[in-house]
Amino acid sequence: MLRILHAQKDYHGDTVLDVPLLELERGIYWLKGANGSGKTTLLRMIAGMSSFKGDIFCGDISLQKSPVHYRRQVSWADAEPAYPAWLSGSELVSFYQKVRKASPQQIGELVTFFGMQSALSRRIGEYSDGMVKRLSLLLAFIGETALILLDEPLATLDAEAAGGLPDLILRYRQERGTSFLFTSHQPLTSGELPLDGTLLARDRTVQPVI
Amino acid sequence: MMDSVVVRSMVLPFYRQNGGLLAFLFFMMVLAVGRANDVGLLEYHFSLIRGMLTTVAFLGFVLGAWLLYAWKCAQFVERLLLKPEFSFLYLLAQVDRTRAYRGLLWVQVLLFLPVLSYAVIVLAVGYRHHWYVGSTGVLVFNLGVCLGAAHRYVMLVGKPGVGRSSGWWKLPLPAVRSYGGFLIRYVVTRRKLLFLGIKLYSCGMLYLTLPGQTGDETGSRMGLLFYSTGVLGHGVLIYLLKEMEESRLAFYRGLPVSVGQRFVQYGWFCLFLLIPEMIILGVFLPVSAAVFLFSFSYSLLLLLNSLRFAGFDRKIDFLKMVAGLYLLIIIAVMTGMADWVFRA
Repeated sequence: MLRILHAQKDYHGDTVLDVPLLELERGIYWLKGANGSGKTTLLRMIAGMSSFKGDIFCGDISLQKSPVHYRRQVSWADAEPAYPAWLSGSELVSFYQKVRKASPQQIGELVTFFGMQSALSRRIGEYSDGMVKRLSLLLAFIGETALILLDEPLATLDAEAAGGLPDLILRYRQERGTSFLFTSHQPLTSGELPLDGTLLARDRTVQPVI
Repeated sequence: MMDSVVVRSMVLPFYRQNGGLLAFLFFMMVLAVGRANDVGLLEYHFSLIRGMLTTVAFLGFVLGAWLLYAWKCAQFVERLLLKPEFSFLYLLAQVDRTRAYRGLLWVQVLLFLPVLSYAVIVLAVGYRHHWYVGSTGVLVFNLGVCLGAAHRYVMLVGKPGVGRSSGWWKLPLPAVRSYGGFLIRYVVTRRKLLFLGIKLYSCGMLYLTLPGQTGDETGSRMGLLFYSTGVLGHGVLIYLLKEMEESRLAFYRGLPVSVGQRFVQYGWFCLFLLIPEMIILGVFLPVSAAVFLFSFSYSLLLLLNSLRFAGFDRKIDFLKMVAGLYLLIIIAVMTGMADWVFRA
């Protein structure tokens, strides 16, 4: 499902991440690692948000050769999302719905799941950090992507939303075949979310934990 | 000690944020005029000051522009006070009110320094040539702005959390669903003063370029040059836009949108920016000249926008690039390459 080939990220001449080869089958994966180990950098590379040497494939689709087609397969939720304060939540959701060609039914379900019904009409500048986080997760689940990347999805979420997230992940996995790769310093699984693998970011590379 | 901290906290971020805009204006008002105007820098500014102090409409226009700048300063302070990292400034409410007023007056003087510096020259020239009414108007205006703004700042630090006027937020803006719409919303909600200032200048200069306004070709050439500075002034807006996109609209990079579609969004946005100029061109100019001037303006904006993605990330690099473009325009206009527009 995901193949990372000779992917190398440099900052100011220093290599911060070098992944010669990493292949993941469809499933749910937990990317672990200490602060600054390159977890977010890797997710940003996979999401097509950050330039790098090498290539990443989702199925057979190359990020470097078919960036638009590739990005149709992958979505992402930032650890510390930032959106324009002068837009309303519903404007962003509508934009994502249009770009990701999502059905109104899916949008309705997600809005209900994340408890955003009353907040969507308000400007994002009026949201709390937790509401912005909920919005970013909602946006990441919009559409029919093959892979959803979640960077610290539990950060700033309240207990209710955090408790429900594994259920949503599992439902997307079972009903739509969506794969997930997430980072989290807290356990996300709650015993009900079957992990297909764990990855470890360390020493400027990422490897599966066997 | 406290005054020094207050000044550094409130003044330095302002110049850090607006340094590019001020450097651009300085370049256009001083360096570019010296190169482009046959009569020279001092004569040019003398005629500008004379016009300002002897013509009520012109004085009103200049004071209006200065008021916009004062408003921008006040908005900056209000937003700064609402930021958590500057909440310590509310300690000013606990010191003697007169001392707080004095400190904040000094802050306003420093923020308003670009206008005050020019106003001092205007006053010196004005009183020397006995243009008392206009000069006194300039003096009263600047005193009023500084004293009034300091008074407002004292009120704001006395009421933590109160600040930014919310009237605009209550206006029913149409919903946007496109990226170009997001950019337009940013301009009309967050950069409206800058946008208004650029439009006033750009459209004013465009009007001067029109045949019959200046009476001769040299005047029209100068008008076109100054109109070009107005179009290039949009570069400030475009640069700020990029900063905002990097921080708030970064998610767009990860969405499945082709380069062509992205370019179309910027194309619509640039078209929106030029609507006032399009109206003036459409009403006052023959089709051929209007099409030429519109194409010139539109392609210049698209070029500025595209250059943002071509390595001109730093403010100074972007400014140099804009200056280089302006020099090319000066050469084109002064060598008569655009004269057919005036004869059309």
